[in-house]
Amino acid sequence: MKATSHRSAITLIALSLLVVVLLPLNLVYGSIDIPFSEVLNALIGEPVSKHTWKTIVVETRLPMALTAALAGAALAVAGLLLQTTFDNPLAGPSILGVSTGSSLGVAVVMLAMGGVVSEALTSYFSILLGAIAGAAVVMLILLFFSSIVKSTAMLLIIGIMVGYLTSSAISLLNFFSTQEGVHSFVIWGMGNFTGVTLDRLPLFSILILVSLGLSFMLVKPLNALLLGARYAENLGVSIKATRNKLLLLSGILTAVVTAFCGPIGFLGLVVPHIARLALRSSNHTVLLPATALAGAVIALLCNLISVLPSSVIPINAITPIIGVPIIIYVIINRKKILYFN
Amino acid sequence: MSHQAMLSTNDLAVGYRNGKRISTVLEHINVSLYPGELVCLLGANGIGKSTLLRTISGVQSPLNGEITIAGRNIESYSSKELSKLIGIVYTDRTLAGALTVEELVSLGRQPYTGFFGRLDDDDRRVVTEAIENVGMSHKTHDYVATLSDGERQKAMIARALAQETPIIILDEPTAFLDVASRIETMQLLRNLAQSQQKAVLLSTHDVGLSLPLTDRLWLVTANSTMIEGSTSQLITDGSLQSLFPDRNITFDTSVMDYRPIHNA
Repeated sequence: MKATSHRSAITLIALSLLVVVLLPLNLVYGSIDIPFSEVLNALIGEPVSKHTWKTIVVETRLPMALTAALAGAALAVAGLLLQTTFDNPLAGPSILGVSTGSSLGVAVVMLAMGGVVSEALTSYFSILLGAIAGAAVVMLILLFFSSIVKSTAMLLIIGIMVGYLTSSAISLLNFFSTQEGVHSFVIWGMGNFTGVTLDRLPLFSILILVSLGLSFMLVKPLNALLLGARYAENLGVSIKATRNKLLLLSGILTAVVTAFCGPIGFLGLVVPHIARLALRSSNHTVLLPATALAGAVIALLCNLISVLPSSVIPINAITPIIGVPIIIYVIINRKKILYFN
Repeated sequence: MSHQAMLSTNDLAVGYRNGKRISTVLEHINVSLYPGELVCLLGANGIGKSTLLRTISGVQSPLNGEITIAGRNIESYSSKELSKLIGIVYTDRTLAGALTVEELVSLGRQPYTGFFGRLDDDDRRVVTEAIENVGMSHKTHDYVATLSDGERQKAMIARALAQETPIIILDEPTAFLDVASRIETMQLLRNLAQSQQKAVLLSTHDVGLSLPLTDRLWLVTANSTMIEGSTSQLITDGSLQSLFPDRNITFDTSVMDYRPIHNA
């Protein structure tokens, strides 16, 4: 306990420090590098040597960095909730078709608008609602099957199948829609953290922070679920209600991020592993905050890499480069990794 | 026995209800479990031992009849109340490898802790005692993943002890263990029943090992009738023969275990 709690404290502090370091780096670097002192001036409202720098820092990079941090935390926590719910460390919002469900919802809305994504708040709201509705449909399908199929591994495969079905629905929609519609959907589908402008940041932040806060309230049943559903039930946990809450929360977290940033792959699957490996613990009391922080760190890192070259690389081109080696490492070493045994 | 039963059944029928189809696994079960005793549930594979254990631990509804726990019908308890009455030990593999023994045993306090599951001094004392009682104090801070199968089983028993329930039910607690761990586990359960006045019920296939340590037996015979009695009585009246009538084995009272009929 002493050694573990030391390790937990050190990990949480290190991850927080990384967030603190990466946030300003995301403000300094980009298509134009702006000196840190000027970034600071722009943030606190002091005069900045070039007027455009102030606009870039405050209106583009600040919302982008905060969006990346929040989206990373949200997807990572959604992944952790799903992994514990399905008793399977290889579950994640993109694997279970939840992200794809959101994408389908967004596709329907975008293509219905003919690809004209206006800056009006209403069009943002309809995309958000589309994403939530899409995720909800996939979640309902998973919930329905979870009452029939008891095995979580089988349920995982059903989730993957639902994901394929949803993808094919998206392809069909694209096939029948206008070129402009397809174009804007494809751009959105590459994933980026620039979709949240400064005036939409409060809405995005509130939705994410409230959902994250609600997941922290489920630490106790999450820990009981580490023993499997049967033990958790014996400890007085209502399995059905808890499972529904966990699926709902992970669905909302995924849908909100997907609506604003596009379907960001891999973060939800990978980050909980990074957090568990760093902590050497699956106790959710520390694992949940560590996962949220690590999600923010990885997303900020991906965002930094994506803006370093002269033009922006899509986020989804970077996340697998970080994610795939970690997942393969975890699978190969699963006999030696504590939380698989 | 003169004292009141901790758990008893009255014309209980167990099985599965699937829409309108009812498949009864065992019926007309009238058995009791008393504080301070170790009872073994014996019977052939697939005869319904696990179904019975699940039903009397409240996980599954009875098809008919009733189960009384601590003087009240089992259905009158909330799942929270039930979690303070019955502790269960399964043989399920868990994903708890990255928890320490202490963290694992602490989960047994969940029925008593508040919203966030924080332990107070009293909870910590119960956890420490539970780990002591199964002889695992030296492994308190070790990860569950690093334990042997026998140690893991002891940790799971400690978790049930930390739950402070008057009844502990174990589904084949000695399966997958080597012979030393089997004997240690059975002796541990026997000592816990006596020293802490727990009512301990377990299903097992280790007949030879469990008989000398068991106060009473619940036998499920081959024709699915339930026989309850003291271990010595059921050995002498030949009831143990009725478990496997069609198989080529017999219960040998001289070695207190089953053996092949045609002994070479």
